[in-house]
Amino acid sequence: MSEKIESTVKDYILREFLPGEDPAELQDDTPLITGGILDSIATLKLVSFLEEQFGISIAAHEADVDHLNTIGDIARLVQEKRGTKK
Amino acid sequence: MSSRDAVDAIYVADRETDFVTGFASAILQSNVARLAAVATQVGLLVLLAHGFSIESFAFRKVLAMALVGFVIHHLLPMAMRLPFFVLLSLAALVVVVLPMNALLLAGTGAVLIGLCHLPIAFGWRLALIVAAGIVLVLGRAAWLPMPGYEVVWPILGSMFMFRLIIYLYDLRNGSASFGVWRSLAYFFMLPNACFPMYPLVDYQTFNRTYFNEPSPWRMYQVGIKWIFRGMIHLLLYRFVLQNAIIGADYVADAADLVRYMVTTFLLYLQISGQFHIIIGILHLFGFNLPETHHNYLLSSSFTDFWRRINIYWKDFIQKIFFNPVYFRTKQWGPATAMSIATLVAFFFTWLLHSYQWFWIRGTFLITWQDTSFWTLLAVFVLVNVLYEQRFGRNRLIKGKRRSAGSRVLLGLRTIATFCTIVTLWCMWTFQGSFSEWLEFMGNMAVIDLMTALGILAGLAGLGLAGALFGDTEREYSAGQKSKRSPVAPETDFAFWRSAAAVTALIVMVPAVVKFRDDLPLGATAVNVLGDIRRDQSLHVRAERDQGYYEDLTNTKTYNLALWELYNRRPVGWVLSIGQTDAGRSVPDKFHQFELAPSKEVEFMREDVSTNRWGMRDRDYKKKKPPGVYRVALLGSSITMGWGVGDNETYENLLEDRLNREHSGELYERFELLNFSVPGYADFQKLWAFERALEFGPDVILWEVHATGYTWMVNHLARVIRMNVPIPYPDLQKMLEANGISARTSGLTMRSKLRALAPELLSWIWVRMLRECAARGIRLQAVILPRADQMRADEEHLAEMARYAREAGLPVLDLSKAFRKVTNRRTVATAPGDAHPNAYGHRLLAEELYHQMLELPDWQTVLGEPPRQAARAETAGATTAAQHNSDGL
Repeated sequence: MSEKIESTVKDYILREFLPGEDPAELQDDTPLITGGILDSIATLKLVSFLEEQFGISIAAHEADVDHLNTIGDIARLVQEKRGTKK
Repeated sequence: MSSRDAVDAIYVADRETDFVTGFASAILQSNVARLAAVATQVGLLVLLAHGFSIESFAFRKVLAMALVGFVIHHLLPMAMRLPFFVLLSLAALVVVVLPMNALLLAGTGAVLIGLCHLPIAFGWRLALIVAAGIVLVLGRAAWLPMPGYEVVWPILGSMFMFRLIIYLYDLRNGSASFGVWRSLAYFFMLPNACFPMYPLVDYQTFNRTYFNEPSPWRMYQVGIKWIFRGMIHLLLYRFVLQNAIIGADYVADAADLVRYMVTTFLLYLQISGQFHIIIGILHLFGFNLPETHHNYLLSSSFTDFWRRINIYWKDFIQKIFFNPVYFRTKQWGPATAMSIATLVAFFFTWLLHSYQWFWIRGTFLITWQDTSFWTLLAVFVLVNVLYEQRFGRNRLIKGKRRSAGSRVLLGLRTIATFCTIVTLWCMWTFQGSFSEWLEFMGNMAVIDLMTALGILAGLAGLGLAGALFGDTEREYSAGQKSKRSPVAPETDFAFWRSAAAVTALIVMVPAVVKFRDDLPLGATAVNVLGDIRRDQSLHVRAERDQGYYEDLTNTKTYNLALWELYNRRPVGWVLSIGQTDAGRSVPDKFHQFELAPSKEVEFMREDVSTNRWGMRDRDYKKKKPPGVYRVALLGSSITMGWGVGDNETYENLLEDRLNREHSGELYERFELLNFSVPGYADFQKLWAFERALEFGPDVILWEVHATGYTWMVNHLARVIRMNVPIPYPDLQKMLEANGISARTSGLTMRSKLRALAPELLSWIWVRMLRECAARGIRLQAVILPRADQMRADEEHLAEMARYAREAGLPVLDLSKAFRKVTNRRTVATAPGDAHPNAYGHRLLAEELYHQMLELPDWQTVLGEPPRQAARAETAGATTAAQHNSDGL
């Protein structure tokens, strides 16, 4: 399940924010916010995508570096949300 | 396990370790050589700060405390480090603001933190904090008497005005761990005591980054690098203040205007410098925080600028206002939500700048400049945000792989952004009305080909820098950049290479200054380097317009008591003689201020007495007695004897010497009458000249110093604005002929007066020479140096001396009186005060006496006593040598 989330998120990030970049360079632990890939606008776009794609609701205070800095962090957040929902 | 849990686990495990074992283990595990290397670098930074007088004396003390504290902190077991940091921070507070103030500050802070953790519903806690905040607001606005708080308000405000908001936000959302030591560390963090302007550190980040690397060495090195970088920013800021900036009233064409706009923006280097130093110091104590500024001069769009300058502010606004508003409105569509959130974010940015101003300065700031600046920036950023939202922006995983075309575009965007920002910044900091600003900007039309080419060359250089370096990433320590796992291996950091490079850079700064004459540098660079060690910012600041940040960092303008504490002034050090009975303001008279007769007061901890005629001098009869040779001195604070005792002024020392060595020859006695008054500009001295004529002087000594024109313009602008009658019809006509009247706008009046200044000074001298000739009085100019005289001042004084000679005044040039003094601090009354002290006055008296012997006019009065002159020179040299060795 986690791998599928990671793969979906990775595809989205590559498509939306890193067109033309080598997919191999985007790892699960690549820093997205602190690495300058996701700025505030991109972070909010990503949040909208996650909410829509995975049917979850993310709070304003969760749209931060603690929860969204890597694909791994994002997958964990999505899993937590989905687990809570169940 | 999240990264925060992992850090907590280490923290708890370490706390459970027995103290002795933990301590021994810490020592064993510490790499002594690395620790010594880090401590050496911090030690060098402490020396650099002292050698170059960087920031206040209080800061330099705190930096020295940080050095000692760092070594102890590193050797302590993890569980003891945070408590130690808190104790060190509180100790710094005591050292900087003194125990009673520190107690008041810490007590108030403890109450506020305590309210956040009361065992009641969050809403009630919030209500109590708001109530406490209202009480403090009333106190800060002086609507509610709160004795004892006067000194601590800016620091209390700086510690709690924003951090409390962030803390409560994280507390409500459970976004971070909370504990007594963590909270105290957050609110009272170490260097805050000496910086009212402080980065808006996020509590969550403060916690998350605490020792978030497996090994601290990289974190320490980053901290040292940032402290050093901050000091370089501050030295560049000093360079701008000393050598580059001009006042708005000096602006007469496009070249001046560009210089004014760019240098006004560059004053922000002080804030970026301070913030780098602050975060660098925190790194030494395990707070692995990110950069606060990142190449903001090379921003390539308005959103980019917003993300690079004061990044902590942007993060705060985003966290507290932007994101919550966006999430609440996103059902209306992303573009609408983004627009509303951006406008709300900028509204609060504007409001909170005023809020910050209130807590630090105690007054409200609502100006057209402030409102226009933030409104325009909001509009520009909004357009940029909507564009980026729709079309995205170029992002790269590793950066620096742009095509040539993309780099050219980046350079052009950098130029466009920079030009717009400096224009907005100029408007923000401009002192005057909007129409005056527009008129002021009209100077851009006064341009010639060379200026246009120069501006284009500058912009091309900026564009090139933007193209090459504009897309570098914001600097984070590795612990944040990677997965933030506390057990990640530290493989890619070369400690020794970093330590060697940073050490070499730190050492290079004083070496370049020391050996500047031997290096292949131009004369201008050598002069600039010669002055860079001297902190003349207070002196220069007084002569230029202030901006938002200048007004917040210059504690002298809003909290004298705190400024005294920061600058090693004794508490209660009176800063103006007008605050004593000996000085009085006469705003309806042309001379504006005078000394009151027959007063004995303590001023700057020295006895200051005025005689019955309102001179800071001994008593003299009005009518000159027979056989007396009388000298009248017309000057300002230095000649009046600012900061020295009655018998220590160079005027009294010279009088004593003349009577000791020359009385009974041609004259029975010499009397030197001191008509000097602090702050007197040339027209005020002209008023004093007319008073002096009543005392029948044989010679009049007219003081000339480096701030002459500026003071003259300030004085005239004030009396014209206040419609004070001008007692000189000729002068009144000259002003009218040049279109200067009470109706003239502030900047225009100052610009016109500035342009007219040489003519005005010449008018004064011609008038005085005429009066003197009619009475057989000799008029001579005395060129006086300040204790911290810079080379630029010397050039200005040389120019003034040339003017005086051209006008027919003999010149007694004392500008080299301190030439034998290698450590200028030994001749200044106090750090940050450039008035000569008692030793400085002795040197001035020696030099003046020597110069008088050289002047034919005086040889006829004193004769030629070569024996005494030689003795004087020897005595001066010996004393100078003693003081130099004391100083070193």
